[in-house]
Amino acid sequence: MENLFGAYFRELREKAGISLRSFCAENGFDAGNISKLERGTFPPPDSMDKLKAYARALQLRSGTTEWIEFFDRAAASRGKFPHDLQQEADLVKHLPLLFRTLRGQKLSAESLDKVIEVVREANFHVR
Amino acid sequence: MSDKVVQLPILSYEQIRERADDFLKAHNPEMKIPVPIEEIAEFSLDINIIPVPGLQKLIGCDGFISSDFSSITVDQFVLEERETRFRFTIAHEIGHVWLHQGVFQNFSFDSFDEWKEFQTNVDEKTYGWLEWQAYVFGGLALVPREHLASRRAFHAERVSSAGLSPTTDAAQLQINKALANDFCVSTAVIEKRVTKDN
Repeated sequence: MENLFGAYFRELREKAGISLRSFCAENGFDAGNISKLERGTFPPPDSMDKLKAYARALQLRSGTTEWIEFFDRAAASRGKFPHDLQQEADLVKHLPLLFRTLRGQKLSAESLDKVIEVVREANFHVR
Repeated sequence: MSDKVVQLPILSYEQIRERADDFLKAHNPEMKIPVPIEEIAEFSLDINIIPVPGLQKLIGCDGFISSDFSSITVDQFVLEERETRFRFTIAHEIGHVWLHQGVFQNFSFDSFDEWKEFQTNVDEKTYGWLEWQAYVFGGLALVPREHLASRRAFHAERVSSAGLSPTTDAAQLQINKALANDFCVSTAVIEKRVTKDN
């Protein structure tokens, strides 16, 4: 799947040198949503106010070429997100290789299924 | 996949320290303190951070690195509200990348069942050692030896200049708190690092 806006968003954040946690903490954004947006599992928001808040947080200045490009890319990316689940072969790469609970225990078969659900949910594409 | 055996790398504490020092030279050449571990993960190692609400409650862990080493899934509450714990989780998972990527480079899973079979059958002792190595790496990467020594001396001097003995338990507690603040880690991490370096 193409993830042009998400990758561009992350590139801008990297250029600004702000970690995901700091970016969200300083601007009151939901870290889960921003992570999904950057990974292409959330589309750009429809709300112009929200997009402007993102652009300002990414240190873009209103009226500049970069500002305009940000909105153009957001508009171009809308509606390009598949609604279906990713394929098993793709999702399985996101599962943990090394995994241990805080109590140092291996997980039960039921808990392993929960891990799969967590990964599936975190990588679920929404329109 | 399932018939592959994890070849445990044998690494002493000092060898892990050397590997952590190599890591810092490569990714924190200016030796900034606190170590910008989040920026290193995201921008230098190109790892995605994936916050998941309720992860800890759901499966009993703060975070994990994906089998392709491209993302770290982390409890969203820990990310948002427990900075030192979050930083240590990131450092620990980077430990797996830095120390163990070679061990697993030929491992891949084609299905959920294959992955579950691996998780069920992997040797407990091997697993424990891999986790211990990453745990040690996390502390060494976030609290480099030279910086720890110099900051300890600085805080001990401050305590002394206030007319107190830096060797008392109360003074040590204050020094460890100050060090935890310097390195943006928990006092538990500082205590373990100080004990090892002594």
